[in-house]
Amino acid sequence: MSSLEEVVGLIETLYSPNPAVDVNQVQQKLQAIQKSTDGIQLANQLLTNPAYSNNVKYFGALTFTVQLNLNIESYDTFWVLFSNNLLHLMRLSGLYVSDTRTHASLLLTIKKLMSNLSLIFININEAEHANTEDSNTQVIKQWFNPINTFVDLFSKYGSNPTVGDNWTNVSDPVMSQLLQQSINCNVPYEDLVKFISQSPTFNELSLIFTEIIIEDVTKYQSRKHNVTKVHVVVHEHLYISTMALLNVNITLQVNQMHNITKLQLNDNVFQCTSAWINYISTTRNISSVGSMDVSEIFQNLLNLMCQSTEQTDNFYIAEKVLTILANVFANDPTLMSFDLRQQVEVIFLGISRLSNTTIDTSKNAWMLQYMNHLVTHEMTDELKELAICIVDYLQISNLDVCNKLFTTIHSNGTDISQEYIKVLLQMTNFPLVPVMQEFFSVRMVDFWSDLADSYVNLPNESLLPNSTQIGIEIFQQVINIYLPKISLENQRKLIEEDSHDDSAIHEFDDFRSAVIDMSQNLWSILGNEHLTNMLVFGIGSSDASILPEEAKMSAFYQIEAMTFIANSLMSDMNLSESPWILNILNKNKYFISNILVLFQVGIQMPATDKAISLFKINIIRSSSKMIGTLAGYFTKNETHLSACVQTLFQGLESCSMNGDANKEVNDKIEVMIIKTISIVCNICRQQLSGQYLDHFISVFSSLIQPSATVSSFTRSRLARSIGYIIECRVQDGPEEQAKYIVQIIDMIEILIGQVLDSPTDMQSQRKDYVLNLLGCISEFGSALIHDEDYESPALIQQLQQFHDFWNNDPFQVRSKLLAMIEKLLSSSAYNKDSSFVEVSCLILGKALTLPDQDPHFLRYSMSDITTFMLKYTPVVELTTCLPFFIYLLEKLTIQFKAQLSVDEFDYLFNEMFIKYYPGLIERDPDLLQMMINFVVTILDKAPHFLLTSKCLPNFIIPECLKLLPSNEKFTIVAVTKFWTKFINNRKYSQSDLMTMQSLIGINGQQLVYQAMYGLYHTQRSDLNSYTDLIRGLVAKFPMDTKNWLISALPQICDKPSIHENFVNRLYVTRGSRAAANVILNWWLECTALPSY
Amino acid sequence: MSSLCLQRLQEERKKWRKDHPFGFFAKPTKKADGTMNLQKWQAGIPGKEGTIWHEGVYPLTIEYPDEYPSKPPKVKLPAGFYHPNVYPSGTICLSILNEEQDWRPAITLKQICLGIQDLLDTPNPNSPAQEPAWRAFSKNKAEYERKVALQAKQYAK
Repeated sequence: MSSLEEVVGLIETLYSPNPAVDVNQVQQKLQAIQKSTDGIQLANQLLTNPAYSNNVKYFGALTFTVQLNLNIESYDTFWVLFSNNLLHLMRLSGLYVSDTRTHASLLLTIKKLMSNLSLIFININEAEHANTEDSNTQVIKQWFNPINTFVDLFSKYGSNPTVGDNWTNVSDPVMSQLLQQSINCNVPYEDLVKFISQSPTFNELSLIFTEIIIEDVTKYQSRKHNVTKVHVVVHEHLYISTMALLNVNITLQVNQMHNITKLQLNDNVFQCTSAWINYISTTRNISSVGSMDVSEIFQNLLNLMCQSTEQTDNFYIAEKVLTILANVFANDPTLMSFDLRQQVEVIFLGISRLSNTTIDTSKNAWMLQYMNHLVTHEMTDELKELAICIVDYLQISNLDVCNKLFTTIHSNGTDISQEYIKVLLQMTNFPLVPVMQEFFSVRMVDFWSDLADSYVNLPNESLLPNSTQIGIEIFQQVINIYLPKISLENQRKLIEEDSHDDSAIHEFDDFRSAVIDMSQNLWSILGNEHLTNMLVFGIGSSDASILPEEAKMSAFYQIEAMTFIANSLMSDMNLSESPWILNILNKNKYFISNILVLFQVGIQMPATDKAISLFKINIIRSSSKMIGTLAGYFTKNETHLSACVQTLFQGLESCSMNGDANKEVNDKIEVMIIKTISIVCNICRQQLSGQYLDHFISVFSSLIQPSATVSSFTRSRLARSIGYIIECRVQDGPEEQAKYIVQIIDMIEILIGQVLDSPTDMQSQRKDYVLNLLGCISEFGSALIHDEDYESPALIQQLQQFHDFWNNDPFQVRSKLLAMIEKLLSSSAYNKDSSFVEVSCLILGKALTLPDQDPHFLRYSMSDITTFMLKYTPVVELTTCLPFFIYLLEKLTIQFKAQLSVDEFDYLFNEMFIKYYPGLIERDPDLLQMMINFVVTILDKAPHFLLTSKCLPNFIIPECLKLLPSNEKFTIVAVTKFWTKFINNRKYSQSDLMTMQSLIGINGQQLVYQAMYGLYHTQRSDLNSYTDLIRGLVAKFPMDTKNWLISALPQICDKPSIHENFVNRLYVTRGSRAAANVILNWWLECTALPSY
Repeated sequence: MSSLCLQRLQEERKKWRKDHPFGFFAKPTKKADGTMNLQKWQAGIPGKEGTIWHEGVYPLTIEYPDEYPSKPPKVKLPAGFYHPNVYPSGTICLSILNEEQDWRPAITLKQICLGIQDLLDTPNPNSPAQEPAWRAFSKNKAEYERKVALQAKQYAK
């Protein structure tokens, strides 16, 4: 061992703020010493020498912890550690008591020694021998009450100075005997009180000790679930002493003992109380001796809280007690008895749900004083804590309140409950700004939401006859309270208060979202009649455009709040099929115009600062979402449709005009507007297909110009939107519709052509723009696909004409477009970029998944597509582009399976895969996976091609055999999927089946060898990929597979008995899970890896 | 639904309403009769600020099996969602949602949502679940970022 001084030096280095040497090395060295057999001796020396610093002493206590953990099983060493810890605790506590200021830093070491003793307390009482008869009386089997031991020993330490001299001598037999006697001594209540009356520090140390023990027991409980014995000991002994200690403190008797007249209480009292409540709450459902009652503590805490005032302690104690109560109400409210909770109710609300005759309103007066204090001093955080505490409390009785209000269960409770609700409504309507100044309204959202939920779930037979009326009255008031609360005016105030505090803004947003959820719950009760109507009438009560200037902003805030909620209710309805809503909207002539005014206000608002920017975004969001929601209404009443569309386009235009100054704000608004336009166009396509279409095309024409500053998202969304409208423009026949299609495609083609005709560097610069235009064609094409759920009678009547028209394509839309795409892909600026290939493939394949009878202007022929693929596969960058051609080939093969010959399939397969296999595909697991997946898809959709293809025996089977043992998970997954599908495919014809059987007959032996070899060499997580294949082989070729296995397995590894066992078990196993287990066992046994 | 499952889901709802990360939402859906379906939730995950995902709030459906919390919930993004670790069906490939991997009954809804938010911008290279996003992510970052940004706009708040 190093010398003591050397160790002390290392400890000082370890705790030094700027160590000169490597701390990790020092730590490792010290840890080794702590764990050594000299650890205990070292700890004693470090703790005893008065010359050593408190850091060194703390390290001594820590060394005991290490030794305790090492010697938990050895009784002798354990007792040495127990007695030494006690001894040092007494001595150092004595030192601390003598002068708490000078020895303040010693408290850390004292706490560590206490923590060691709590570990000893747990271990002794949880040990096997606890509660058992044992002849060895020296063995301490239980330690009932460390507080008693502490009181007894510390009293002896203080009263006998002669003995006191020996408190450093750990091997003194007198001391040892003294300690033995103290372990389970009895300390009556009077002696305990007398002890703490001697000095406030005695009281403090006793509280700290019991707090440390109970926190450690709680932690121990959370780590080990079978803890029981220690809880019994705690309940029967330590709990009693601690409750006595806490109660004399909380009732201020200790203060009287020490002549303290001022209302004050050491924080230790509250910390200790919290720790004990936490412990009792954690263990009350698992303790074998029942729950420990804390009613007296709670009662005393409530009394104490109500004594706390601004004059006495500036409500310091009130805050501490409320923190404890908040913790109880949040986590385990029933820990407090019903009677006590009733008292709390009176304090918090000044009313009781049970009776209003016997309540002491002075207690509530105290609460009002406290709230007043918090509000006056702008103590927002404390007010928030109080709100959380009160609302958590209210939630406990939510169901009871609901029953009393709405049911016949409590015959006399209704009047009181209605009074009670009034108080709650007043509290919700706390007259300050939510989030910024008050939290009652914020937290009460959950209460009202739950009350509504509970009401909806009540059985009808228990409801009061007037319950509906009561519900409507209450919940309408709730909505009326929240409407001004969620106003954006409050958000503005928040930002003006502190523009950098984003968390408050976020909290306000969350509050608004919570109000939305609540409103949806309330709708179940209030319905359209009492909620949606109210909001719609509120929004459309008067013409917002002609309000006097000074009243305008206030009106807009109100309209926005109502729109925000109304939209959340109406967006879930199909307005075109809701006569009620249609009727209300028809009656409110200002409703839609006010929504449009709101939108326009937002658009015109200059985003000069953060508050205005957020306001602008929020009102545009609310109003544009409402316009989108109203689309269903416009299908029944298109009076305002034109104004809406015009306003939306004006908004879109303004986004592109504002330049870069407010780009972030404008980008967000642009997305909102274009999404709304898209919704309106989709739903109102029929209404818009008349007079509006030309207007749309004209807007589109200007927005796709290179000079327009709109985003690519907006352009493609607009292309799709126009597509929706043109899609239903069928009443005048195909030619009429085609003219519009041609107009759009021409517009785009011209613009792309202009770029293609420009110099090469310009072409490169405009790549994103060209890609965007090409994407517009794809989006436009998607919109022209008819909705499966909607059948247009006009289209059905003329289906054949449309079909013939697009077959002939008299305007040559397809060929012109194909020529443009080809021109594009011939340019070196574009053909190396996979994005262009991707969109080109999307355009060419657009109609490949459509049923044959569906006409579409992008229905390219098989020849067009194959020529395109064959022409550009050699030109483009295949590493990134091949997947898009595979996508196209897959769709093409499925769509044209009736026309495609096997030779053509083989040719295409050769040109697309085999040709690039050696140099590219076989080296790239992603491409390999895609190729195999293509084969699997063809096996599924058109197996005949593959079974009759020359590529199957000549390329696919040999390669897929080779790939069975692979290091790439995705290759393994794909190739095993291929083989499984190949041998087990329900879509085979008789001839296909015979071909497959013949091929397996030829390749079966190798297939089994390769599969088992791959399985043997793969990692555990990939074993399942092989399971289905092996099961398939056993099921389809039972006899052959058995022989193939018997032949193959010895070549893989030389473990004949394992192989034999495997084959036998495999053939008597049913079900995939069982087969997987058999295969797993074989793999584990062969590889000699452990099972887990 | 077992009482343990019900109790835990009520607890999850309470916890979430009291404390959830900003910008996220999660709530039980309603059954046809208007009552709450605690076993099926709707949620929204905002993309992290400063990432290509930030513009969007991505919708999730969370279905809790009867055996919850012994078994994990099934969490799905919309079908066709573009992300390397999201299957074409929308099922998310995340170890904490896998019973055979890192699922533990103590995992909360908040942890799941934060885990998914984290996954959005840091895909797991060991668990590709869809080909297009995976390929673009590993071979063509520009294409990947372009598509993610487009998707973010599609799911913009």
